[in-house]
Amino acid sequence: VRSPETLDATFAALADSTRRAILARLARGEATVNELARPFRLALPTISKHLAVLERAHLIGKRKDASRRRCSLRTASLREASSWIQKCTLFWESTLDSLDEFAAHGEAPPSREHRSGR
Amino acid sequence: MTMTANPEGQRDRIVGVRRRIRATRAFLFAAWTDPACFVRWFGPKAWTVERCEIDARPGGTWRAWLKRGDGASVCIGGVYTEVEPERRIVFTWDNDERGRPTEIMSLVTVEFAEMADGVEVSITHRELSTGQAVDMDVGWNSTLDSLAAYVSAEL
Repeated sequence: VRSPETLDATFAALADSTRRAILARLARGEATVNELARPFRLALPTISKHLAVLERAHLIGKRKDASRRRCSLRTASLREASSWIQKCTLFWESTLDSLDEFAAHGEAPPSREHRSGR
Repeated sequence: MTMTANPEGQRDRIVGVRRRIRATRAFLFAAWTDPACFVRWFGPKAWTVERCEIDARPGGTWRAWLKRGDGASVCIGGVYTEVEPERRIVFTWDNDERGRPTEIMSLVTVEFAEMADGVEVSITHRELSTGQAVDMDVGWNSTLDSLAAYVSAEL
């Protein structure tokens, strides 16, 4: 079940270039924590912290394979976040920009009778 | 009440945005309900309203044809469920090009609240159907869109 809090976590997780790069890497296939750390030249604890954020946001999954932990992409969250909430927010924020601009022109509302909704 | 007929197990989703705008409630109400005004501003930046039909009273319908500079177009519309002059407008939202009511609908509430330095316009957009959301893709790109596209392409 996806709550607004989970979606907030998804967007917070995506608002970081390292984490987006990790997701892009995982889009090519699952990887161990070591494999993920290598191209970023980051210490393992740093990578682990990023992975924990991504996991909480349901953007990645982890599974234990023998002694290693393998990470994989969970695209459902990404697709869902992309598909509605984000677009809807962008649509209305940008529409409010337009309204603000329209109002700033300072034009009076039309004088013709308009209050039919009594 | 919980939605039981919900095969995908998703909850209703809600988006809320608000902005304080220096204008009167009368002006803002007209901006939303008078077609002559609505046509001049509605939609995200870079989009223009080609034409619109607005009958802003409970049970009345609205429909707007939006176009972007590069030729992309979209049609949005719905039915007003509440119209309280200068205070509150509630309408359904669908993307059917021919303007027929669809099963996939969401609900938009626009409210105007008087503030010391203008009017706060609040927009709440919520889904009515839990299984599927109305497509909000009117063609802009965002970091997230690009990433999602990238991920889809890579899979």
